[in-house]
Amino acid sequence: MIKILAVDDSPSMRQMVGVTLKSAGYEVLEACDGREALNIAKDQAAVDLVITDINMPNMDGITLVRELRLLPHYRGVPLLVLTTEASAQKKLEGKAAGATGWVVKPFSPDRLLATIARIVA
Amino acid sequence: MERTSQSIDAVQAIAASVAQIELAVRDVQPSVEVLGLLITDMATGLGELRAARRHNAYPEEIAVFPDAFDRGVTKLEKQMHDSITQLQFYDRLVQHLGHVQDYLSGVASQLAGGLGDAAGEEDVWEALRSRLHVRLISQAQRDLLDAILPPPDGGQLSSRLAREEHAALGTIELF
Repeated sequence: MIKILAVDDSPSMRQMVGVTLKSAGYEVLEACDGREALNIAKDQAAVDLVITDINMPNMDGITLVRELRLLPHYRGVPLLVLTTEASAQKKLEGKAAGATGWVVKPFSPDRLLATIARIVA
Repeated sequence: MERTSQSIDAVQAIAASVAQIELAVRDVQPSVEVLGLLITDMATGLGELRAARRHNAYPEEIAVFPDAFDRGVTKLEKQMHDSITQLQFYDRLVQHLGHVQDYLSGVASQLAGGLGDAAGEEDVWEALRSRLHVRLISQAQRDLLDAILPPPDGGQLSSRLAREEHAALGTIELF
């Protein structure tokens, strides 16, 4: 089963992402900030996809993407940013850090699932 | 600018506003969590309905001639997806209010600390305004800020540039 790590400090957002992904048959791991996600990434085998928010306490999403890219087993893992941040500048920062794509909240479950299916295929 | 009793009053008024925003967000959090759980339950129920159907029917016939059951399940699924999209506006609201709180706190700390010369003072206010402008999450929010608190170089230019540089809601871009 395809495993996805969903990272967001908002419990309701984690819930919505989780419901969307689980209803499509994906296995979902959750983390409430970048630091927790990085610990999961270091402790376990690589997941198939990471979906992360940007504005989070302890470690933000851009730093998480940068740190994950330094882990050998995460160099090829798609990293999708899911955020309210819509500025071109932030998007460039994410791209430079190693993000695979950028989704501006609120996401449409259908479109998000279609994009994920394309990425993990 | 020296610290006057008026600026102390202003700092206290801002602190009270920031605290009220914080409380308002905290007050609705439990209800939002319940909504999230209800959507999760809907998703579980839909999964069970689909699984039950698979045991009792001929999938190839359902695919070609969807009956009332299939249409009902599909409609429920669409409604659940719409609920997921709509609930995210709460998250946007919290984010928006968080940026406003940060702005107000910045203003309060400038007022509390006292300000330097007139030129430096102008820079500080513009830096605060500009940071809020960048962090706001919709064009309507940025337009409102520009209308009430225009930047020194003209609000229209700033708004036009922001419109060009910000992606629309729900945009998905793969790099």
